[in-house]
Amino acid sequence: MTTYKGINGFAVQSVASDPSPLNEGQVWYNNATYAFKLAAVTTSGTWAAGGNLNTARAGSGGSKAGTQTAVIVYGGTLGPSYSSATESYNGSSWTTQPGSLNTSRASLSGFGTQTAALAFGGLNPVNAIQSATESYNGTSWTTVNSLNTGRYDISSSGFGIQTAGILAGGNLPGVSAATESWNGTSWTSVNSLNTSRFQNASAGIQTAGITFGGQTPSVSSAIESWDGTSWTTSPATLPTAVGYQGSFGTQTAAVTAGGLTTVAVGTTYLWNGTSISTNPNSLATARYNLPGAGTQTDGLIIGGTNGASNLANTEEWTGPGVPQTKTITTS
Amino acid sequence: MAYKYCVAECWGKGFITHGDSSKFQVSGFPGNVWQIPANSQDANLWVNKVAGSWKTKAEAQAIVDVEVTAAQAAWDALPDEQKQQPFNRQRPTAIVLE
Repeated sequence: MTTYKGINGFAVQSVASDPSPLNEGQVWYNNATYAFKLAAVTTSGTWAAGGNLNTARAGSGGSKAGTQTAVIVYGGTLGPSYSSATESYNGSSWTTQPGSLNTSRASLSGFGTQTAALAFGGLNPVNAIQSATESYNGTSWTTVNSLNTGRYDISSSGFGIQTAGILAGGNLPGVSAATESWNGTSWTSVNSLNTSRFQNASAGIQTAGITFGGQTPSVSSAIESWDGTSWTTSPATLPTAVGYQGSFGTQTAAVTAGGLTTVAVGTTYLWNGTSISTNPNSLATARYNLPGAGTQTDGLIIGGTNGASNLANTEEWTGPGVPQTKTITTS
Repeated sequence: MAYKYCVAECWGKGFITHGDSSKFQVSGFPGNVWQIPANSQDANLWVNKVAGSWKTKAEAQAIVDVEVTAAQAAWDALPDEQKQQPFNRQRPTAIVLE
């Protein structure tokens, strides 16, 4: 007879806390909660509450290449005022950092990691359009070379790392298709999007990116793929046109969540490089105008607005195929 | 689908877990109003976990309406030029709970 011990080489273990990381099929007894538990692989992604920001904000920049347990968010609108503050996440709580942006701004964009990030564009507190770029070293922000074209409405439009990234689209004002490439030192204008748009949600790296939806200025369902040189319109489209979403991942494995149709939505879409599908589980809080970070396996969306107020809460994403703890019951 | 409602303050990590979301959809609205499926034991247990205060649909709607009405009044009071700014383009939209 096949036994658990025969397969795994050890019996079901009695432990005081759930193991980490989980291995598919792993069974254990949690002697603190008196429950048998199982690591089961999910067939769809799920959202869980992450730590709350210290300050509710929308239209922030974020270190899109960060991870679910190491990311920063910066700037954004707090309501009537615009922020320069940086907050850092460790996977459970947010801490306001001593290093603030040199220019308070909102509706900006960003990419990079928790300790090597970039912030660019947006609007300053008197709503002047910004081309300024700032670089973060984990401690402080330094002003570096500016965008060629200042723009705003780009919260999730940029993608890449601190030394190599892309910004596509935005509001000048006037809807823009302009794309710029960052090489770690300066921005260069490159081939434009096929569809001008702002508040499009993007993911990827400098040589392989993807952008979803946005405002043209009417809401768009178009998807375009970036190959490092030019944009190609995908035959696939979003099931529902949406702008102002959060996004993260790669050109062939991305998540775009939330956004604004005519109202805030929590819908979550998964992109596999050729087609898009709707995830059964939506964001718990419908929201828009927010940054995201991470991968299609483990990601995060941060703050935003529900249309009535700015949000401090964040939501953590675990993608399909990732082992999760299930409690074994008799029913 | 039929729904039930509660009010609970999201404390952050652990408020909604992946395990919760794999069993039922929680949907949040202004005023800390949360919508869960009716007839779900798992959802009822979640409300207990978060110390939620049960509300009827009418009570929940009233709480949401207070928040949205206040946001709409604040938007209406803005000067016209501020209504053109990115964060003020859209007047807060009424939310009707299902």
